[in-house]
Amino acid sequence: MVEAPLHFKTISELTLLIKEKKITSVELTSYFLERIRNLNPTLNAYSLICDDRALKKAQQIDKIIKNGGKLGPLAGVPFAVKNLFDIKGNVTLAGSKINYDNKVAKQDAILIRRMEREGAILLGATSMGEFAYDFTGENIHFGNCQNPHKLGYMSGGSSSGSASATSAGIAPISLGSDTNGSIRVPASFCGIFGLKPTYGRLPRTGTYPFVDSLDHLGLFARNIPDLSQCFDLIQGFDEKDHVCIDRENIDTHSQIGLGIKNLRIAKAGGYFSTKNFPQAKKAIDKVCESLSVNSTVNIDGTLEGRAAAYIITNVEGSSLHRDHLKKNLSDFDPDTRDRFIAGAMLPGSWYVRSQQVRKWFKEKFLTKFNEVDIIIAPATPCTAPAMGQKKILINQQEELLRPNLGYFTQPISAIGLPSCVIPTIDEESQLPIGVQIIAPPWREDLCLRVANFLEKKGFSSPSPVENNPFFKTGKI
Amino acid sequence: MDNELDASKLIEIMSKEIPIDFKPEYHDGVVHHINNAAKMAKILQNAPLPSNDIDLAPVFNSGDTNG
Repeated sequence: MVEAPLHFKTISELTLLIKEKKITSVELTSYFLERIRNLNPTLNAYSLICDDRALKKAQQIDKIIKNGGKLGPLAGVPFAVKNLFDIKGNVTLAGSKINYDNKVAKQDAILIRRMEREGAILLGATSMGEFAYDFTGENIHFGNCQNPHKLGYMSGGSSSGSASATSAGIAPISLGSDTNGSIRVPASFCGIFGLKPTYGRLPRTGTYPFVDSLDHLGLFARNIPDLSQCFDLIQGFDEKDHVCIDRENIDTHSQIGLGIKNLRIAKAGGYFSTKNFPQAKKAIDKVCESLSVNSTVNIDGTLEGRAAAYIITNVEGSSLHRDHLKKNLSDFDPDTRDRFIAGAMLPGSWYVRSQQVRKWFKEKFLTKFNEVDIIIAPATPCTAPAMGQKKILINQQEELLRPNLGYFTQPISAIGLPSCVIPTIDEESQLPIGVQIIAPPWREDLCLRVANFLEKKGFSSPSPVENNPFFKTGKI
Repeated sequence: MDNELDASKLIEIMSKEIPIDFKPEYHDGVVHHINNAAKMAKILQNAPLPSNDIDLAPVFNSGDTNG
């Protein structure tokens, strides 16, 4: 078996190297910073690189080792965060030009503090679509974020830089946000694992909002053990996020190896049918074959639930940016601007109806978990489209691409269910495409168990090095 | 929603109400998104909700069932 290069090693491998003094934390951090300097001019995954901060933290870890002190479980593990997370001393851009002159953050976002508490090292902030209203990875102000598997193709959004960085081996772990699919869509396009936990699980304190009643935070990783370990370490109630639920943390990491015995797993049908989505169909078929899944579950009300999420996003997002629409209209990306303006003008009765339908859809969906424990659904309608593409076929109808890349993810976040995307490869295009593993509320452990089973069956993160000539040169 | 929405009329009224400096070049894009939202609103209107259920989920809670 060929040993993985340093940038694709797992958390347990990296921490072992540091604990056994085979590499210092400063050396490991410097290695990643150098790799970012080489690859980022092409990928545009990072919008901010925290060299000084990262090296200072690495020095502290080396000092603890030298003094024989106790190390955290993530000691020396580099990570990155979407640029809507507050980083002390820096402006929180949220992908926008409008925020550029805002005051710097006085404190790190709570999830950064929790990662660092365990010894992880923040490398920087990652690129994202303007104000998170994006599924493509395109950004008119700061440039497009590239897909490491094929330059000129979408990384997915809006957590584009986090997914691109973890896929390319310039951030072993990254944090992102998901309102309608902004973790799951880029995870699908970039060929990595992405977890959107239950709504209210991870506190959003110190992050820039988009749609309060839909915003979730979550993580990307190249394997399930890393994902589950970090997820467990950053859980916990925080009263400063008014939707965060005060409940016991869940131990997923020790459960991932339990396999799928006794789990009732079904494929989502109806709205989630892949009949008109050939790339998604192949991905779903492969996963269902590996899980020996033969049954299909139809979830009535999904079309309506998705419509509710669409209107809620449009209205709440526009409400948040009402002052920007009045004062900074010319500073928006035109694609985002037109959507926000439209949202600011919609009748209030549509929003009220959306919230009623959302509640109704949630109740209908939850009854399905009396029959099954896990539902398998596509993550995206297709593999990554080329940058600049504006239209997509949804059930043989030509539709705008931007709002519809989240066609399969939006109904799931609308009702806050946990969902983990696992990678597959489309043989014809040689591009990744993900599949969602969906569980009942608060059962991220079940998502991760099934994902881990599939990873062991070969559904692992493809390395861009293997199929992208530009990486083989080592330098851009 | 019993009648078709006139997106141009809505823009004319609401751009004064908000108010925003609405430029002619925004028109087609905004109309497109309003019409998309109107399609979604029609789907919502047709959802067979119980007529006496007026509960909202203003800050959504994913619930604690099955877990």
